[in-house]
Amino acid sequence: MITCKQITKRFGNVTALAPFDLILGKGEFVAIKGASGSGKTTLLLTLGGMLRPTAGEIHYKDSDLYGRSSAELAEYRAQEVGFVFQMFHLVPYLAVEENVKLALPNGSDSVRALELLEEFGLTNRLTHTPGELSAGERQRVALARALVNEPEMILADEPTGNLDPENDRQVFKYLSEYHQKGGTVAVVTHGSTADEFADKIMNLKAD
Amino acid sequence: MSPLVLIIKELAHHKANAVLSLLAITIAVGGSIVLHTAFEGSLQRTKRIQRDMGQNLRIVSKDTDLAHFWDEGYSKSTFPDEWIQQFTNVTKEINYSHLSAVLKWKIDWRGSPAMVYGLAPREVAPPGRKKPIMITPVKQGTVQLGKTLAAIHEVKRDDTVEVESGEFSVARVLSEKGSGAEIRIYMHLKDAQSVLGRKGLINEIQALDCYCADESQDTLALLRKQLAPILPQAQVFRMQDMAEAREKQRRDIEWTYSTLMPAIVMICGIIIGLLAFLNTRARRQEIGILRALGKGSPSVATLFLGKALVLGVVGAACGFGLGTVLLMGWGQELLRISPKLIGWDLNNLKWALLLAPVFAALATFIPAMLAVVQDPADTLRHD
Repeated sequence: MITCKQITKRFGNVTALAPFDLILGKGEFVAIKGASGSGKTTLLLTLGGMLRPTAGEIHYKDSDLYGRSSAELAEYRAQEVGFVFQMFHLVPYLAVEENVKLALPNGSDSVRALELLEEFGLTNRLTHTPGELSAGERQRVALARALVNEPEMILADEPTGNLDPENDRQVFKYLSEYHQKGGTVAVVTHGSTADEFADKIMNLKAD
Repeated sequence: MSPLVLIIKELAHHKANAVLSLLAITIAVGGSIVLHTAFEGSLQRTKRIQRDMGQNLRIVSKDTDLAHFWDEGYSKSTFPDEWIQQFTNVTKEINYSHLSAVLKWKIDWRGSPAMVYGLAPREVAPPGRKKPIMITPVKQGTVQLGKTLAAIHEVKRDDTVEVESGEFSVARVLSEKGSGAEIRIYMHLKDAQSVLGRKGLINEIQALDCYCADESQDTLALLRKQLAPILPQAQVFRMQDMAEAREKQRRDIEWTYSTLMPAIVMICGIIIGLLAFLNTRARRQEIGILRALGKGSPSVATLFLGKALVLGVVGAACGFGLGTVLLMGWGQELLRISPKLIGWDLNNLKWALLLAPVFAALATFIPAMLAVVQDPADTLRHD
């Protein structure tokens, strides 16, 4: 589904991502590991159409991802990709339900949002703001937001980096359920929980 | 989720920023309303004072013996009273307004000098210069006497007096003017022409130069240039001191207005812009996540400019309230604004509602564009 050939990202003289190849097939679950500064987050953002590589090519469904216009890239992120971040990145002034609905196009049906929140055990938290939630709950909200549009692919950047072991496992279980339903997952992680769920583990090396 | 809901929720979340922005818009609108009304009031007062000072242009025949004219205060050279109508036929804009036909002549009245002052009852206005009349018309068959003249001859209101060959009722004895008006006998132009034996004739056209010449222009030269094609047989004199005082007064008011108003608006605009900039910085991660969710540049711009529009509308209403309340409380006493100009003027509200959102959006434009061009990856990479 997504193929990267020798993608590199440099910020001035600093190489954030050394030349890297990746083939991510549809329905695959890949865990990307690497030392701090090896470019894990940079890789994920590049795959998500948010960070143009300095060199190399990324093809998504056989078309050049960065050959698209910025509006088309926004469309790609809205429909094909779901992001999950270590810091959750929920909008602080929106309630749980609203944070999830934020990912939906204006005026679209929000039944799926409520279904996901119920599935993630957050029905009693719908009107709470992120500040009123535990870290585990916040990450579940973030996960629900990533999944609400039924994307082709989830890109998760250290999704359990701020969670206790119980919540760590829980998040990977949800990611695994999505994967088992045919979803593609690329998760950047330091931990070992991913090893249990991933089809493939890749290591990034710092330049 | 609709942008309006997001905007309102964000406003409620970043309360301090929202309140300060709203305050800045409210002050800009309220201040503008107070200043605008004060300006209108000053202008109205000035116009009234200047109207009471009378016309400042004197048009006389080119044949006038100027030494006599300046010595005696009138021209012995008369011309047909229909000459004044030439001003109604002009096609270009001219600086003459409030034109009135006058016949004045010095006579010996009951053994002392007096000036018969015949005034046409209507002013003539060049096209586009129709304004409320400045002169005080005198009814036919009546006269109005200068105070000194009335005192010397012990004439009172409603007395009947003889002037040359005519008999007139004294309609009014004027208050003390401290000028040549003290010995004038004001009467209807037709009566003056009749008693002076100069039917259909006048010896002066009085006018006011409109306040439309550029400050750098030589107003008198301009007036003379404009008069030449209209009345080639006439010449114009400008009572320079009076005219310049009038001009200076108007310019002072306009300067105050045109300096203070933009200063207030600009300061408030800068404050709004800075607050919007701070807001953009505080929302870097939010912008990043919106981008990650596939929201494009128009959506991000809508959030920031839409917020400015919402603040602008609310600020317009608050500013209208503040400005009006300030005017009601102190406008009359401190700014000496006529009570007629003070009140809940919906016209002010209409303009405030139209302009304040545009103003707020303009002040927020640069921060909004910074939000649009902000690299979301940069924020999300460094979290």
